[in-house]
Amino acid sequence: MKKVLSSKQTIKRLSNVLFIAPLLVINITFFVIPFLKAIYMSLFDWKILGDKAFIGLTNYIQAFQNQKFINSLIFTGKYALLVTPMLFIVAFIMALLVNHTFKGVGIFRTIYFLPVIISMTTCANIWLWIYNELYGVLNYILMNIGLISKPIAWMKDASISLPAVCVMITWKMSGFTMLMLLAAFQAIDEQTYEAAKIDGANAVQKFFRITLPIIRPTIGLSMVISLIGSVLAFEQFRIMTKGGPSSSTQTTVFYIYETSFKNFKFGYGAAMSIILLVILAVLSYFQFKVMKDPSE
Amino acid sequence: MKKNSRWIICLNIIMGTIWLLPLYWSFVTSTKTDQEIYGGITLFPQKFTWANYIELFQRKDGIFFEYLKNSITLTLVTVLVVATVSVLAGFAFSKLEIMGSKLWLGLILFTIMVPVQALMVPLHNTLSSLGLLGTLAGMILIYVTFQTPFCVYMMKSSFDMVPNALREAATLDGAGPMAIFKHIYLPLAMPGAITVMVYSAYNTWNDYVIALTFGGNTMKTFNVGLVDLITNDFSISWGVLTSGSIVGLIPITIFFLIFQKYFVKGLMSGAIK
Repeated sequence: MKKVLSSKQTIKRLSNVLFIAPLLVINITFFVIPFLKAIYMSLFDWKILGDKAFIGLTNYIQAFQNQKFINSLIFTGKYALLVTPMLFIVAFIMALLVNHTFKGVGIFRTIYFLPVIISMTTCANIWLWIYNELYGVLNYILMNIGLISKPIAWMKDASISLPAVCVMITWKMSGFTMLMLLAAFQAIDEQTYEAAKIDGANAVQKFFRITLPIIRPTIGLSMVISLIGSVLAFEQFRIMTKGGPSSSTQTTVFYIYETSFKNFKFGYGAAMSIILLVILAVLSYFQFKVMKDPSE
Repeated sequence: MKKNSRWIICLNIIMGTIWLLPLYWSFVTSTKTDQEIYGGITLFPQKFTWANYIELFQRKDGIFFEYLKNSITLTLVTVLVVATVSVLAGFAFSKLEIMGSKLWLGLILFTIMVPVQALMVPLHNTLSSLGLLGTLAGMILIYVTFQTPFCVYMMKSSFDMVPNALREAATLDGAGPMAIFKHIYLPLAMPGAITVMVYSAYNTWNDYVIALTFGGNTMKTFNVGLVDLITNDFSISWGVLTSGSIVGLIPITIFFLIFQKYFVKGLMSGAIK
């Protein structure tokens, strides 16, 4: 009797597994195996044709000696460190602007969020036209108000194109951070402000003594999310600067893509992907820390 | 106080206008003649025309219809597969006893943290050995792989909010497991399911990296086709390019305006995880 029952239980448990079977089959085939394969491939001289030769850690050593790869890491870092504060400041101002109740505030929230939902390729294209050297509207405006005397070639020099791309990303992504901050603002108990008011605190004091400390975890989280997103940057530079001039605006993902799918050095590309994963793991660790402990 | 809020509204109008201007500029350019586009700056088209849109879709015997069709098919099928897989798995993880469920959930959580950009090389290899490079099925499988982890978590927490007492009551009333799933769980988990579908549609329609890497020449999406135009064809007019931008952003914008609430929820929790 007992035995029958337990085998029935087993059948039930097995049939339960059917619910997650599609998920597991797909995940193992297209995530677990490729993930392990990335590590495996990185240890080989793996080209599109011919024998694959085991070369140990040579790909990794080469990557760290490869000035182009190092440059891509430095450039990606520069981009991440420039765009994150830019985006945050604009998003913070936006969040303050829409953290009010007036008729039509919802429309402004929607407008600020609109670029978030448009694809990166479309946004890059829209701004590439604005930045056009000869016919672009930006040069036209700047020349007409007398800020510049001749057109700026926005995409032809890394020191100009980097901030220009950051402006595009700020336009595209601030709505996202704005909503995170807005949710944090609105989660603050109104009574806290009332109490402070009774104690004679003015608006500036309320902001620095109450609002800022309470939303600090959200600030940290939004910055880490923006950093992780920036480390993966690819399309915006592929479209707007094409990585140029002479690879000076090539991000890490961009370089890995070219190495793997233009030059077909798969093993080398895999090794650089693993290095990228380690960088992302460090950032994800910070994300967890920020999320887990609000007092930090 | 009144004066204060008037200031806020003024600032919002300024900022909102700035935010809409790039979109307006692309649209207005797409409806101008080449002569006007390259002849100076005009705020409104002097001679409104759809010619750029017609030219875009007449290129190479209507190749952009092909790209658009690919994008739409990929998005629809991916959304359906993602929703099915994640509703089933989310339900199982929430309400059923499953061998090794901790392990599987851990694996799913780990998948969320690894972006597709870091696995382009081995995925290319896997797809190529399965003969799926440049196919609809291959691309859908990659989209599903990288979208389901978050969606499963989303569905699990949706089902977690349905109290077990409801199921017990229905069982007492003589309802079978299928009836319970259909009449009790599914309606209550619907907001979660819509969020998951919106998240999936957004990510598939807007994708560039996956389509570029695994679509090859046979499965080009609208985004890939548009970037090809921008980066490879120097003779192409900005009227045509901006019309491409507008065509690409209109479906997702309409979708957003309809499902705004779910969009915000899906995108926010998708990023925070």
